[in-house]
Amino acid sequence: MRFRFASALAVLCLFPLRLAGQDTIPTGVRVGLTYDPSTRPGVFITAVAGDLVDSVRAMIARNLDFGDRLTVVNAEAGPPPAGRFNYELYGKLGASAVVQAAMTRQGSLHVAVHDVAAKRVLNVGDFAFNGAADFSPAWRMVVHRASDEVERWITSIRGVAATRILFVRDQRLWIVDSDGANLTPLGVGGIALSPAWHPTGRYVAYAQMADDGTHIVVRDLTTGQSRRLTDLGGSNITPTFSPDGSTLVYSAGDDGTDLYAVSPFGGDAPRRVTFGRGTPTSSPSFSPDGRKIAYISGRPGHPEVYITDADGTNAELLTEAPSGDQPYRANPDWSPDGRAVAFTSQEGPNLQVMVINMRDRRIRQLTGDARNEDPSWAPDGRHVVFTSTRSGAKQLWVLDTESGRTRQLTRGAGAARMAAWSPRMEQP
Amino acid sequence: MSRRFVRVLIAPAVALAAGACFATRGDVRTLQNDIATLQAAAIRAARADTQQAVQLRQIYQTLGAVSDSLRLATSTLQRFQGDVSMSMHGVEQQLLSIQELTGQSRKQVDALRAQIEARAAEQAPAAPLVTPTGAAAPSATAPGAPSPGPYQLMELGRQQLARGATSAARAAFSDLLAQYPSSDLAPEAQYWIAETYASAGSAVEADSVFALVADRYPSSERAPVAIYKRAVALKVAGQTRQARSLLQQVLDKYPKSEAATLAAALLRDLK
Repeated sequence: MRFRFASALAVLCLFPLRLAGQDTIPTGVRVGLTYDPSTRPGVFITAVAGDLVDSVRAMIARNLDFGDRLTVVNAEAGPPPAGRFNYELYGKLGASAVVQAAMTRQGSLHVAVHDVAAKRVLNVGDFAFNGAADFSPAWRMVVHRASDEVERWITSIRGVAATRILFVRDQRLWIVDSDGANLTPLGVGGIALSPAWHPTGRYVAYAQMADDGTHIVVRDLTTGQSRRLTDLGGSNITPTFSPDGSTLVYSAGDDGTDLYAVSPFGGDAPRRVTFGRGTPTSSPSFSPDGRKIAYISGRPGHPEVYITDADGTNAELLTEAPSGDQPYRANPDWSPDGRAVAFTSQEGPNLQVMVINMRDRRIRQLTGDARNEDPSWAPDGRHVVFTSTRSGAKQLWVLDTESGRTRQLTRGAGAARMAAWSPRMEQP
Repeated sequence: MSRRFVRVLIAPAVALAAGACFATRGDVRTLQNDIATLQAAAIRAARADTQQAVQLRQIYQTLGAVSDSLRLATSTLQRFQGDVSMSMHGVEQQLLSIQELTGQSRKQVDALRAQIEARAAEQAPAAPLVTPTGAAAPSATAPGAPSPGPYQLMELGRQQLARGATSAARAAFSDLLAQYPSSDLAPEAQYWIAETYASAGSAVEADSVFALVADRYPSSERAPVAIYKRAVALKVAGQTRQARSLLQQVLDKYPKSEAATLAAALLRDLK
């Protein structure tokens, strides 16, 4: 038994060397790497040369796996390959691409992607760590960005590893990397709710409880400075930024609420966007072109998803309930590609995450196990983070809306909810 | 001088003291009567005070009762007002719900009409596409195909716009206007032509067509919205004075429209 295991390990370790040594197959007709969205092409990730070999390789492998567009074909790494690549052998292993990474002396991560069918290097890139300490959040973000580029080189669609997720736990704001690592409190005092990201990823807005009600606060993540945006007391909740970042829309009011638009950096007085006539109106979410807003209104007698032009005209019921039905619908989030709006809907005794196609208005149920709510789209328009009780307590889960695959993002004590997926982080 | 003066004063004082010492019995009785009278008067006064206090207490009690009654009446009135207010709010909410349901029903009826038109068109022979001026119109439907009805064209245009196909949507709305200029949907079609330009980022074209909606169909529901849209575009372009003028126009001409509520809010913002 021990002999078998040792043999297997030896084969694994020698594999890249064997591959490197057999690169003698003549090149024929070039067949380039063509990504088919309905498949998950295989990717072989070689070991990474340098001190942090396993960590970088493991991170890239995990990120590509979480991206749900590629299949990592080798679970183990073995030593880094030397010499020329044996593309045919990688092809036999089921790999369409090979990712080769190395730590450079200049303090950057060098990544090369090989097209197995074409037997050539598809793309290379250097990702500078800029002096970030090993395994620090900034260092990890550089590796995530490299993973996202690898995914883009192979599939033409950039990954979402270099993103973060804001959420509420025990009435405090927390932030976590998209792979579940680097969980840290945001350091905001008082009770905070409904976080939202600015499109640059530099600012976040949230509702904060105060003695005279709840206020909208905008926080600069770079400087750590916060600024209260609303002067009047009462209920000021569920902020969201416009896609160009120039407008913040939130819900405000006492006897019934409406949506108001304001500059997130001061200036104009809040401008009313909706007129709910005493009914609750909340949870705005902009369309990616910034021309429309999806929101929740109680105008039909129960909460439903509406859409309106950003200037307040053409308010229209989006989710039509069957006659006599009184469902609860909440938390709409417009997908970054503009094609769908995800929302929470009461389905029988539980809440479930649904998605409505904006072209034909067809509704599709995305979840079914336990109670699921508060969806928030990833920048790729494919993954959704949401709150679920499927593991017992309320935790955040990530769902691939195309394959239905889910993974648990948060663990630990305290209910995690109200997640907001960040845009891609361009800077560490 | 002073000694003589003292002597003069002492003499009457001694006479007076001697007089007092020699008071008669009648004087004493008179004095006793006076004292008794005074005591009786004092007792009467005390009784009167007690009665007044009692009366005051009674008055206070009566006032308290009146106050309680008033408080009760006020509370009842407030409760009644609250009930009425709640009822009114409830009625308002119900009206709002009915409005929403009516809106939904109208949309469903329109969709149904579009389906009926589609079925009718399948059975009818193809009609030539001709504009009111006799010129050939750019068509959203295939040449030779049965001519779709106004609701069908409206549905088609909205679907295309939802897909982001602004040119195809515009063609459908233009077909509707060309073939059914007197249709109830004509103002809608004109309005959505403007929206196709706005969606495509053609602000100048959108503005001109929005102006056409207000000018050509001033009594339609779309007229105040079209003017408001022009005002918003002008505000974005930094032409505040013109924007204010259009917003005021919405308030003056269409004070009861939803666009007027939006216009009032934006006007406050611009002042």
